[in-house]
Amino acid sequence: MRPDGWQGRGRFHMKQYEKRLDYCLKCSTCHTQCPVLENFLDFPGPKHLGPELERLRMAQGHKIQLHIDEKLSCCTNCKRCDLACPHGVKPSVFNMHNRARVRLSLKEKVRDWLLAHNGRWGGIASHIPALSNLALHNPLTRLVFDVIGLAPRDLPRYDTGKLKTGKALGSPKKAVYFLGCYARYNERSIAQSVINIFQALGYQLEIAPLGCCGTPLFSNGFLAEARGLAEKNTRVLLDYIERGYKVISSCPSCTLTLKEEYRDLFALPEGEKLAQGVYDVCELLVEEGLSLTGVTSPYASAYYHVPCHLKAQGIGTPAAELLGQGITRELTVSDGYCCGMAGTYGFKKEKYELSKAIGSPVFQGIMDKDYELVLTDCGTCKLQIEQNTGRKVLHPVQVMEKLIVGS
Amino acid sequence: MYDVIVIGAGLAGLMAAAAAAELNKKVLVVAKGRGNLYSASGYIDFLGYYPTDRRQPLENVTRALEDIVENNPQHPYALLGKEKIDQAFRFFLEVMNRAGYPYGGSWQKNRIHPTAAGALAPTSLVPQRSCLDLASYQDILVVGFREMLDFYPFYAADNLREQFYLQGEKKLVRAVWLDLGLSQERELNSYDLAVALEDEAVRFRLAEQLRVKVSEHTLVILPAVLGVRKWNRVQDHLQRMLACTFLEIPTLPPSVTGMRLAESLMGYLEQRGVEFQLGYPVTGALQEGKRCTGVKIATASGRIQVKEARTFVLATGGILGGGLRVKPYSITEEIFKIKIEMPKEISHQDFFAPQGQPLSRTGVKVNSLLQPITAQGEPILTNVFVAGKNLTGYDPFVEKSGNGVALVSGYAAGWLAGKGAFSYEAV
Repeated sequence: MRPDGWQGRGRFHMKQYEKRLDYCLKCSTCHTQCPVLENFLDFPGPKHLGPELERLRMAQGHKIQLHIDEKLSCCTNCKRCDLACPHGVKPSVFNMHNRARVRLSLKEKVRDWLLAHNGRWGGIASHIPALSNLALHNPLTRLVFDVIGLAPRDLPRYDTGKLKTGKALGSPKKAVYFLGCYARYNERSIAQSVINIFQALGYQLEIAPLGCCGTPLFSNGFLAEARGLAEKNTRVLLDYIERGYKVISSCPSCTLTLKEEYRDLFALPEGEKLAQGVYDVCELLVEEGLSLTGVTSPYASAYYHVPCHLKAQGIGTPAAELLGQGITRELTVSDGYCCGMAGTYGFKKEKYELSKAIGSPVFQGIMDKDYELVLTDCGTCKLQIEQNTGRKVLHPVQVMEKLIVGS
Repeated sequence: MYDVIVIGAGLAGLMAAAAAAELNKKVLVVAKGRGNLYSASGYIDFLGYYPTDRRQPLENVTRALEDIVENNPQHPYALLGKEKIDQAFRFFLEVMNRAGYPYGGSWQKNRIHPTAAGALAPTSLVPQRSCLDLASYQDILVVGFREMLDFYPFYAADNLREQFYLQGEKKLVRAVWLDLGLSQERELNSYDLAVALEDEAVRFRLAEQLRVKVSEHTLVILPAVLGVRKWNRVQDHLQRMLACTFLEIPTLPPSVTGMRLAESLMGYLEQRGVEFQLGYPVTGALQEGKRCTGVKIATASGRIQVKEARTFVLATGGILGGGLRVKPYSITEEIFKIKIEMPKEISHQDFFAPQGQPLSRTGVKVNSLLQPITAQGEPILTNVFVAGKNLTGYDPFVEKSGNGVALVSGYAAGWLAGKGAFSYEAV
């Protein structure tokens, strides 16, 4: 056994999860819920990659370097395994730790580094959106991208719009908005909708002076760097929380990371405290008792794809709760399938086909019927659905804004 | 505000949700994960052996039930009675029909089905496609797959032959290994094979190897691998290619037959408007006197979400499901903190003792309305109905009555909760 609080070789404190390992009966229920395995038979599955390997490692006292199957890099971190386990084991925590140890070729490493630092590129590119869009979307760049191992799909465009925040100073209701990379750099109208909604509801809303939450970093194996970011974000956001602010985010992956990963994956001592103060935008709206009943329904039908990282928060589907109250007469809530994009995953050349195969039931569901609206909270789910169905996808807040603020 | 909140997503919980939904109630199912159906056979055993020291499967189930009602008043079957049992089984058959995964059989008559080890075991309801009469097949071929773990066709065939012989039946029981040409980079289990067989090309390979071995009179016994979600299409296709009859046997977890039952039932319930919130545990309940007003659900943020309802069904699966916690000198129900009587003798020296292990009979004591009661018979909570393995008074392992009790008590609990019935007079 290792001593308490053992940390080393890029591994962080995981004591609480080791205890949960004992609850794994190897029933493989997680295995049946894994979207990767269903489409790629060679994938060893969450049970094997998670608890089984971890037990082996513990038995060997961490002296021997275990062989990490390189197929682990196919894990989308959708966390459906965590939700499926009848005994509370979380295979994804072990998977995220071990994914950092998968051996990659130099080319893959460079490509992953580029993808993982999308926040940094976004910071530069969004200052010169027109130029960067031109630079990113031309045949020559395509060729370069292909060479470095990027999937043949469109990268999200950079947004030119400016965010407008008015100030409702002195309001007792205070919220700080963690934008996340997608709403900050790629689609500012989502952010603007959130700002408008919360200001209309009398909130003093501030935008957190922070960049990336770290999801692209740790899901590409840059654990140490992500931890640094996590510490900084936690410090800043806790300062807000202590001053009575609620932390909100419109991106499910950012929200989940702030709620869960800082506490569980990085075991930050303040992670628990931060988690308690973080809300998904719609989660807070529901909690505030916002009601849209009585609103005349402007849309006949809508398809709402529930992002995996929203499902993983265990808060139900607050957006659907609001939408179902009158925005649409017929709301199809689909949470059975992962869209396959998984952040930067779907942008990798070797994962491209798999990514589309995983998402195919979602695309089929949307194409089968002529929905007036297609909705999802997550930026990369949106990209995946738009690219594979040709339908325009909106964030639920973009629809709600019209009804709450009126425009 | 919900009408009914069901805690637990095993067979008892899903049945309760179905019964309440049938009454057009607003239902929420919360569970810390997916239920144990994924590790179970998907067969419904009503009562296999009774009295439990019998070596032979029970033949006259109706008479055994009368015996239970008379001599074993704490048994869930005795509490609910024959009429409710009959209703529950009819309802289950009807619901599974609507869900597109029909079942066959009845609780009154035990069917004898082969297990993966080639034993012949009693059960009551099986999926319609497996609802066959073994006696009418003289030529049996047991098929195993080289890629797959945990199913050995020659071992199963030897056992089957011997059992038929002991019953005085002479049957031709053969066995064969097939190779589906799947990648063997890792060991595959029945779920993996079932996914692979949803691919037409793999089915052709199966049919090609099998064609020379079978005639239209052959019964092909194979592990349950014929499709997961598209099982209908997979089995129809094979049936068109080969004239023989197929019988799928439930396998070790992950069990494809259990999964089909769970997912078709859940899919049906979602269509009926039942909501599911799976993945995080219910950590406690809000109580006002003898009424429960809401349950506390943990979420990723660590904040507790409270969900309110008029009535509740507690189907958290007993000791094995994590609904009851056993400590050295106490047993407690986890959500409502109901104290449970510790058996005087905790375990029997003989692990396979015919009377069973005393601990497997432990559970929450209830009245005939399935409300939890004290040792004196006073209801502890009036709007909470207990179902499934949380109940005391029966031993699912030696009686082979686990899914039967789950089905009947789940149905009854859901029905009572849906009616908002705190006494039968109110119903």
